[in-house]
Amino acid sequence: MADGRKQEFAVVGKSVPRVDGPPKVTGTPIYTVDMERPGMLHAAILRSTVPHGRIRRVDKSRAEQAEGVVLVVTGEDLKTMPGIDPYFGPAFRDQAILAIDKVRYIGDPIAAVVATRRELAYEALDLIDVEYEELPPVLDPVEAARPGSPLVHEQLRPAKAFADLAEIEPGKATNVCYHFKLRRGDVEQGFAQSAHVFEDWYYSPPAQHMMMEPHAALAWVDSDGVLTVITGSQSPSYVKGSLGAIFGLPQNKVRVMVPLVGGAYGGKLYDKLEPLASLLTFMARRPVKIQLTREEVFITITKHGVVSHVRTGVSQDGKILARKVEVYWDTGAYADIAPRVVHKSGYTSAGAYRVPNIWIDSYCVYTNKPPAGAFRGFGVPQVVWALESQMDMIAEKLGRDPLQFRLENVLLEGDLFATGTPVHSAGLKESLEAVAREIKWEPGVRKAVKPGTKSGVARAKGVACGIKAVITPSISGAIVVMNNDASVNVLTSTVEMGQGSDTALSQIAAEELGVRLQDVRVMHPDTAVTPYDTITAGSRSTYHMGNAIRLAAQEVKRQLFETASDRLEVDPDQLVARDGRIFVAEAPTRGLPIPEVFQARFGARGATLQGQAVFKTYAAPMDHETGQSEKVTEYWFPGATAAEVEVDLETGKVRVVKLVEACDVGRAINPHHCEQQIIGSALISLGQTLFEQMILENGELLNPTLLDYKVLTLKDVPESAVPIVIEVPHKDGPFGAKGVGETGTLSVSAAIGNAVYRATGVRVKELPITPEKVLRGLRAGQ
Amino acid sequence: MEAMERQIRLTVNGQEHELTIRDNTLLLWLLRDDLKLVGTREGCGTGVCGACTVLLDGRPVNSCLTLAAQAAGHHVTTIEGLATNGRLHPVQEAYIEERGFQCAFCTSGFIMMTKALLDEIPNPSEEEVREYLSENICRCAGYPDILRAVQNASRKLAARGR
Amino acid sequence: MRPFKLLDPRSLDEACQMLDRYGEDVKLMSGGTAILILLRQRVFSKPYFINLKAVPGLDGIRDEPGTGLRIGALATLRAVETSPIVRQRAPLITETFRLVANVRVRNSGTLGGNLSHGDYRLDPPAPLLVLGAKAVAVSSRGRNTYELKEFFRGLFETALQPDEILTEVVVPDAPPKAGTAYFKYTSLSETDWPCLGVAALVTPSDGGGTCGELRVAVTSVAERPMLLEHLGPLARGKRLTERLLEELGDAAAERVDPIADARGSEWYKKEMVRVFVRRAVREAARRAGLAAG
Repeated sequence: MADGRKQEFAVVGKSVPRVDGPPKVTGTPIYTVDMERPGMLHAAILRSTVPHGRIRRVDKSRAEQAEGVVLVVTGEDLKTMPGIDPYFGPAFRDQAILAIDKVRYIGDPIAAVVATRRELAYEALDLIDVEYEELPPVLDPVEAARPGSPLVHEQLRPAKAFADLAEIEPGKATNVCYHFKLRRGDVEQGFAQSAHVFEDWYYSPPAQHMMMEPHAALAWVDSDGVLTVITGSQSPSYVKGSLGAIFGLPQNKVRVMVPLVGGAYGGKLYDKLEPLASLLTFMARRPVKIQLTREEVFITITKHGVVSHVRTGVSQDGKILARKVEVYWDTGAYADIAPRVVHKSGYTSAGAYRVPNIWIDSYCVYTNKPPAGAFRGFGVPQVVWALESQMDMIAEKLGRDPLQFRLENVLLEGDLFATGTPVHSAGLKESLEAVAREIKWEPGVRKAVKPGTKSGVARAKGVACGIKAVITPSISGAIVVMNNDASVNVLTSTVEMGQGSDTALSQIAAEELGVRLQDVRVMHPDTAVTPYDTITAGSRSTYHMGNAIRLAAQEVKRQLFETASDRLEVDPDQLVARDGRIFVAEAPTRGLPIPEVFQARFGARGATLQGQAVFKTYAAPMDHETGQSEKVTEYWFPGATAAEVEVDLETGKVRVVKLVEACDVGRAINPHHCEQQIIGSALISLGQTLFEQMILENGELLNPTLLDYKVLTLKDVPESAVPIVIEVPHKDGPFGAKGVGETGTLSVSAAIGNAVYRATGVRVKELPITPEKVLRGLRAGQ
Repeated sequence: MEAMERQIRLTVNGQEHELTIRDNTLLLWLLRDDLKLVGTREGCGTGVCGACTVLLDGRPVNSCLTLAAQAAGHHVTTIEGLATNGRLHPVQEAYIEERGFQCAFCTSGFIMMTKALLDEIPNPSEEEVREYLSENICRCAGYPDILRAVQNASRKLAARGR
Repeated sequence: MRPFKLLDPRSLDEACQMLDRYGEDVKLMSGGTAILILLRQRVFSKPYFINLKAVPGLDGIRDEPGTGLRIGALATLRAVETSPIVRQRAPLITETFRLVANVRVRNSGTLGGNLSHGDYRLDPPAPLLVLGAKAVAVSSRGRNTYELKEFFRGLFETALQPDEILTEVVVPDAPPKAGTAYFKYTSLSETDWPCLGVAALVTPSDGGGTCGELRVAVTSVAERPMLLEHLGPLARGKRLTERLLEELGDAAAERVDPIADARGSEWYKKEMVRVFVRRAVREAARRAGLAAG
């Protein structure tokens, strides 16, 4: 395919260098944290020290007198502020800009200090006195879901911000803010027919995005009264809407700009600091910047801790007959986007296999802990951890090779997903086969260590796979502006946060317009000029924005052809655009360079041609009781992992020697960047498998710094880490492309867990797989 | 209490500066807030992510845990000081060529550490690279590309006769 | 970070006077890597700090025949790690110091700061304990020498008096033919705080074949780094068989009272004391030319 593609396309499919290289290696001011405004003030946030309580009194008088302090604001002040609805949230408007009456987690913002220097603002926080009336904290998500539990929120207000969340309705007097249900076939009958039924609990702990750039926002009101916010946000269009709703502003009086973002991984979606920065700039009448410390980032948004119960029935000949899954999502004090996480990972909770009888209950539960939201993989990795660990347990019981067992059951083109949706462009089989080849999979059942072996090293390989669906419906708008020298500006609200969208989208525009890559400049989001985009997340930008840009570019091309066809006296449909020229396909010498087409059309220096397009996807409405839908998603992205591990039998420590990750990307617009996404997300998942976790005690985070919360470093990277790009083109994808940002996260934990089991006979069901858990298992088995 | 301010002189990227600072000013704040050299970035504030790496008299240090007062009288090199006459330093070129960055918030630190490493060990083994860069965090996990960038930079510097 | 006044003494005498004058209100600062974290997190503050870096001559590293290595307290960890004299006289120190934190921290952090901090999770105490190092402190009252094994008193607690400044660490020469080894074990990320660290020193007996002297120190596992002096007598004059190694590991585990945390429970850490005492002694013996096992 690779060779054929080279002939087919000029720019697409090539590993061209990143277009954002030079500013990123020279220290140029490119991130929100680097931005300044004349007269800028700095804000710091005072946070709750109790997990659940009523605020009796906040005394800010001493802080107001402190050096450099301009302003101190509390939730109490918000109550009396005219024209402000101080609550936000993409699913429920459940979070106040500053806590009003009640605090719901250790870290909940209570007051903000605005000062002339950042360190002065932080110093003044110690001068604010808060009195609480403590309430019993809600800490365990399974208990919190039971009737009669103390409530984190007494009432909830749906936000109605997105089409896919338009119909969520919170229950009354419960901490369960969303319950996803899927019913297919007759699950009890399926179990009755099964030769073996497997039943296990699994756990995946809360974790940190740990994006390198902390959350930051800089807000000011410009001379026309426009609220302007520079923010490292993955969702500028949403933020514009949300700020309008909070402050009662028309949408053309809110302007959100996003420069380059220093990492996000789902942690910079929806409202973060933008509402507070806006409030403070209105009050201080000067630009205000907020930049969180690392400790604050830790408690601003997290990856869900998840408890899941999986029950699976199989026939003696290895067919999966029934699966019942119950999942509890610990979403913390505020729902953020959790209902969507629970919905989307909910309907994939039966796994990547043909299963006729399915029953899924997935509960999104409030607790008095830091809020959990989107994290690269959007909940699916936590579920795949459970499902794919159990797959190996089933295979062993049946005496089957785990790879073969998967290949026999895995969803193929046209098979029906759990939702009743036919599967298209889902290279699960291809991914599994590719990783097996690369790791030199040896078929057969496990070779456990001999009983009584107490020292030395055990080595084995493990495999797993997963599938995720893209958010549907969603919308991407693009405007393509061609200048009369054939250079191009692409206006989109896609956020470049490291994934390489500036480069991939440039490639798509250049390919479609027949210009050089360096002729294209993708502009960064500025909601005053760039059109709506749902979010930069969920592996959706290449497909959605890629399609929007293609369509907008085609509109530009149509106009170029219109003019060129007059000049060349041929039909427009005989023309092509390539190498900066418009020419007759059958007679390439008959053509015009693009500047000459402009000259012919406008005769004016500086003239432009514009094309615009909105690309919108549709889902068939899902039945609320059964979760069934003819079209639940626009596309699937499957992946598979193979891992080879070494386990030190004296310590229980697991070393991943080789990690192979294969992901179906549809078609690679930039193969090297796809590889970066694939192996980068797989490596991050490796860290989350072996050691990452947020440790909470009574709602307090015990490891809130990078000294104590360790993420993967170069010394943890396996000697061999191999990304594999699988291409099963999608019929509607731009050049066949889908998305690849998250696929590598799905099945890494389970592949490593399975390898550890095959090496040692120890099955760890609670992440992370620490040496102590393995050693305890080894000892128990001896 | 005596004045908590002082006058210091220090050389940054070859240029001498005289400044009045509070005694508790961190070198990182001085670079970013006073000198507007924002290429040095703060990731963790605890010395373990490496994003704030600068060279102090040629040796890499965490500018987030260095008092500006203690850097007085010394030479500081930041990412902005690497390119000469608009021409990128070979280490910077190598990071571009190998795409040793994604979101790039860590990149200034990686590049400064790579320069320091190659100044000490011109032709490091992979193990030496992993050891030297062991606490520079790339949360995009572009580590395989970074390893290639270091080797590429090593070759470039050797070819130029250093 | 609360504001403070950084005092710049021009001599050790002046620094001592400052300590006397400001008493509770002052704290010493050398490289600052540990203290600045606490200051930045607003969990600690003082109105005054004494900038020991302003005092000249405290960072020397030299070998004094008959005494051993004399390492100035202001020598950076990196200077110690890369010192050719240290490598020659005490390779165990070189081997250990290269594992501390990261290059940047080692470029700023000083030996004196590291030891005075009293943090139980640090590597340097272990090799210094097995080498029988002494810490020299001065105050306006005079000069005081501490055996390092008596220096660490408890969690973040050392024997240093509030008016004392650690100025020098003296490391006596290791016994002839000694083999040494340091094992740092991280149970989570490779760059995490250690689950534990074990240093061992083994000499062959005069006749060879059996163990002469054995010294073992553990760090990062209990509330203070400890020299396990009861192990030496168990091994003296014996062949270091696997069985003896196991006995040594068990005897070590008995004496250690681990701090449970994310890196392991008390049980696990005791198990790891057994494993890594065995490994460290085995390796030190190998390096001493003694076949272990």
